Amino acid sequence: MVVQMRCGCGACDEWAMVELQGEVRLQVEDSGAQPHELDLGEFCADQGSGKAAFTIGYHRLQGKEEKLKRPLAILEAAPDDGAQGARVLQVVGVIRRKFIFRDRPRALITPRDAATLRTKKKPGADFFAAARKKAKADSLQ
Amino acid sequence: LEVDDALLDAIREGGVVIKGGDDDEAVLCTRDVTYAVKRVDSTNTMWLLRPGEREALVGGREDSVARVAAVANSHLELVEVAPRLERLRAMLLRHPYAGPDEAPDAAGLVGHAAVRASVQASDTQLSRALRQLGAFELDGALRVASSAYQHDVLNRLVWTAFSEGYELSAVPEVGVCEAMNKDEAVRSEMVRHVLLEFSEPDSDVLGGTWSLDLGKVATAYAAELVAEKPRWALDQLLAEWKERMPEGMPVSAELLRGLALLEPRKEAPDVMEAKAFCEAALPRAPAQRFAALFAERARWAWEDLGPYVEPLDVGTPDTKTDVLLMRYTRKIQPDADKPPLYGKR
Repeated sequence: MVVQMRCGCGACDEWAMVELQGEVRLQVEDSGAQPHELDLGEFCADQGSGKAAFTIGYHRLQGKEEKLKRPLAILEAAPDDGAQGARVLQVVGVIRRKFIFRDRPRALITPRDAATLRTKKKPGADFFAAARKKAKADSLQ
Repeated sequence: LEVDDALLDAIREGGVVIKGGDDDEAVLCTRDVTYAVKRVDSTNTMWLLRPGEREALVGGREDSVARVAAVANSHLELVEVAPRLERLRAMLLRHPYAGPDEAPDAAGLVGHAAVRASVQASDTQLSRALRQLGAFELDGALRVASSAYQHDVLNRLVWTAFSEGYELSAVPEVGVCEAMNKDEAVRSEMVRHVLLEFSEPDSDVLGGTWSLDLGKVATAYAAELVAEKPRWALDQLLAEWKERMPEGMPVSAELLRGLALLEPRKEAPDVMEAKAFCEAALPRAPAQRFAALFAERARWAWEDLGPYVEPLDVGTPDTKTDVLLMRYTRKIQPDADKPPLYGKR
């Protein structure tokens, strides 16, 4: 089997990447929301210093932008080429820099509230608004 | 996929493929190099965002939204590897070409495209391997002649050239083809293959006229003799060898390098013996080859060892001759004024 590799449209365009340690889990079990409608969190980055902050749920992450040691090409399977169903993998973009969050996440709520959250099926929207307000109050210095 | 700018350029130019059979580990081949493709898993989560989303991420307005287009927790890495040529040998040696009388067997024969699709090697590495195997195209299939038939055709070609009065440094292809076709049909592709195989490189500059590499031709005759009888008194070998070739062909111990080892006879040390030791019959993998070499002799002079080590170079960094010597041998210098010997590491 032979798979051709090609540069697709926008192959040289630089994509962005955000890297987090561990995984992001849904607090809301079955809200019925589609994955692409989910609000992941609030992201803030400072162009000059390269520092970044990310608030996901009640966690706040500190990180920075880094240049990748070796670029990553993003591959996408292209529709078969017609001729004998030849398979093609296209480069659709390149990643040269990433925002990486390595520091341990900081909880913006007390441990008791966190325990409460874990027992509730669906936390109130005001819960997260309060957390975000607190995050905004801390500046990025 | 982890890349560098050189690889991106190669992909852009075309000619980069990923290939393999269902049970193979995938390889990525550029024109010249073969890489194994490895997947590296991470416990981290990577979110990928399209080019347009960057403005939203950095210094974006309060209400701007950056969309994650894809999630990944692994990437692919490339590690340069030696080309996997065993399959090529298996494919081509399954039905060696033994002449026009061979039983027609289209099932096992493969063309160049099929070989290229199936063998995990770059085009450059594949070409080199095909040249080393002496492969040629016949009726759309890649063939390797059986050594018996090839020698048979070479022998007839040499004697035909001699009897037609052709200079061996200027053998006309058309002339020999016609002459050889008269008595027993030899396919012109086969004649051309033998001419190509046994001529000086680039000798076909004049188009249709070939300058034979006499040493290479003579060595082929010696190979036949050594195959017939594994142990010869050297002078008997030289005499018989001379007999089988037209006058003027070179006959010398030096041409036996890679075919036989010259040693004084144990029972009669003043008689030099030629003992069959064929490079082509030794294992192809370096570790096994060196084991076989040191099983035959504990210490080797470079001039004897060279013909058995140099063919291991397949063009990758770890098969370069000096790298192999460093890895599998140690230098011994029993005599300060004599050249060093190589022993097992």
